[in-house]
Amino acid sequence: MSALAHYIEAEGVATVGISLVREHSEHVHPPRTLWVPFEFGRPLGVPNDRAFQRGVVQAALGLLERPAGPVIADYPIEAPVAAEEEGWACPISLPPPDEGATDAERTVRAVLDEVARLRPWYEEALRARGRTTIGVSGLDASGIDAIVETLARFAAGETVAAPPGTAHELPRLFRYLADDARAFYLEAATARPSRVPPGGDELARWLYTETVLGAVLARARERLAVSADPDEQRAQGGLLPGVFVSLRKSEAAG
Amino acid sequence: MARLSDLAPEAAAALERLPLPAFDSTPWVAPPPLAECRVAIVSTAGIHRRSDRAFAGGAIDYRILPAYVDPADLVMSHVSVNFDRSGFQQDSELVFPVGHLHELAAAGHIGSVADWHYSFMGATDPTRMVESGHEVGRLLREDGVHAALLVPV
Repeated sequence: MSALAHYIEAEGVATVGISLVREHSEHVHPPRTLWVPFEFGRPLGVPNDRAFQRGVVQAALGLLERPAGPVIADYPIEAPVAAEEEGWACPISLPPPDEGATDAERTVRAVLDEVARLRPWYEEALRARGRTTIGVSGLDASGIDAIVETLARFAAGETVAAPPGTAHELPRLFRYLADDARAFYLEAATARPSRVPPGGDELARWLYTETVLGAVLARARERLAVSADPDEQRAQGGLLPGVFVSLRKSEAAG
Repeated sequence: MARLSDLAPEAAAALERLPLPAFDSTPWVAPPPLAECRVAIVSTAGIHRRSDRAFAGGAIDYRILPAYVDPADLVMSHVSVNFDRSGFQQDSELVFPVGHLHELAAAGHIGSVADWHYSFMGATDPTRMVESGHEVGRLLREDGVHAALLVPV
């Protein structure tokens, strides 16, 4: 990001960058930087809080009035956290994933059941927001069953084909399938209007450690990691964050 | 969040491994007063219109986003799974604040909003983006843009 500021400003356009990693900006010293104390993925701090976001945008644009640089300013306001964030529980009650179930048919049934339980909340999120972020695989939300079934069968050791209508080849397709499956789950989990949804860390912990999909993604990633095919090995990183690979292993050991 | 010292060791190590270019100097362009500035957004969140091509790993290219893009048309195909996407899923303005720019222009805080905005996929080694970065700079300049707001993810 900071490097792009150099390239763009060198063409005659002033730049101001928001920075989530102060050390990177210090190293690259772009012309104008507003460092913000927010989590990755939330450069303006808080979803659906226009006033909070506006404060960040105006602070950044305000740096364009500085007479000289490079300048790094620190945004002084932390993003407020939901009061109930500690120990957040997904409002949608799901049966716990059966970590012992590795055969394909049981895994597929379990993940399809989970999707069916989440579907009304996904529909509610779609209605309330007027949008979904599903679609990078080439499928829309009507393809969610095919998406999770493909991931589940692969995780259980079967040979799978790309579902009809997808826009990429396997194994590269895996990460786009995982993206769309995650979008369905997270959009559903944050749908309930009476609750303030928590930050990304709590949602990720829920998704990767408390759902059947999380177990499926972990097993699919393990299978890709030990593949002799370099393209499959490369695809593993798009399935779940490395920190949850370690976490799941340590929980299994404990 | 997020100084490297505040992150989980694994996440901090991944960020420290990212190659960072070194620059001997910093370019500096003095823009007009903010109330006269035409402003564009350059995102590195890997967002694009649903009908556009998804970003691949190592992508050095960019996607264009019109000023009046429908938020319902925005998707994200960033290669990294190590950041929160639920915020963007709830509210695209959190990542791509073009609505804020329209409001700031209407209120006279900035001059105008550019017709076109740009999106890169920020996990790529930035030294490989020299060419496309300069290209976007030229496109912005040709669109009469005075200032670019760079928004990471």
